[in-house]
Amino acid sequence: MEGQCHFLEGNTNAVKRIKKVKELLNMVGVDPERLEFFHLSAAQGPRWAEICTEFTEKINALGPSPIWFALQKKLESTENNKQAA
Amino acid sequence: MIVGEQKPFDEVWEMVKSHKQLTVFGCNTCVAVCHQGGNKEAEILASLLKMRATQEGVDIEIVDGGIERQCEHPFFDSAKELLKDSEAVLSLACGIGVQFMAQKYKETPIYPALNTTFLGDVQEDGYFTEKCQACGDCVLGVTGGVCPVTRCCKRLFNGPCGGSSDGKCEISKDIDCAWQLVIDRLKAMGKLDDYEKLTPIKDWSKDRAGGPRSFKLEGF
Repeated sequence: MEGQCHFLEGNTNAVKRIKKVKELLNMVGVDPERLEFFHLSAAQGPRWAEICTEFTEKINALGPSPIWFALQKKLESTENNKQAA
Repeated sequence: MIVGEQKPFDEVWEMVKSHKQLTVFGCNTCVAVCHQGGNKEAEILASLLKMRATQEGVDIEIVDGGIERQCEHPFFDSAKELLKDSEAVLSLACGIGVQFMAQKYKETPIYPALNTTFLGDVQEDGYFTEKCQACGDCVLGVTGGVCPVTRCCKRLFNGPCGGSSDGKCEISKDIDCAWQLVIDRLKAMGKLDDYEKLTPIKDWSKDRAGGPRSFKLEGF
């Protein structure tokens, strides 16, 4: 839990880093909502399962990332070029 | 140490996007302390550039690497192979490192990823303040260890001026009046009488006025 990390300041440092990574993702056009951080203890298995389910639903609703679309476009273009050759 | 700040990402991208191959190259000393130009930051910047390249459909191979210092020849030994094959380099070093690389690799474009901001200290993690302007004729011995060249907005040698109020400078309430700091420090050391002493006119010829400076040690 927050402030109770085995690595002392580990999870509070992680919160800061996640904030920074969200900014970086936003900078390259990736929705920062695709990254989340949760405080949980090892004894909170059911809550962890809930979070995973909710987060999977959220990502499904957001759909593929712009990076995926770009890679797909590149793949299609490569295949078209191969067929044309 | 030398403090730098990463350039806006779009500016960096515009500089490098025309290349087919790019090495993002960190400098793991000064600019690593300020979390802007170390090898770790080079890796992150390379990842971001790859993501931008993918999204824009730009065909560019991006690799990352780094050394401890980009301002000394011996440190480049470990990166010889990497740099030999680089079409262009995006250096995360300060302006010194970028120029050193440009001089060393005469045919390779070397781009700066950082704006070199100042010579400063680490007040606390993530907070850096300017302390020296490398004027070439240090006066800290007579100013109680507070540099009027750097820390007085007007570079006064006979301050404080009329713009000093409650220990702050008229330029900004966030800036301490350097001369108030000088006086406080001299007082704390029991040397306030030194404040009354006249000091010789500073030799500015050792500053930037004479162009780029250098010095050479005998016996090396």
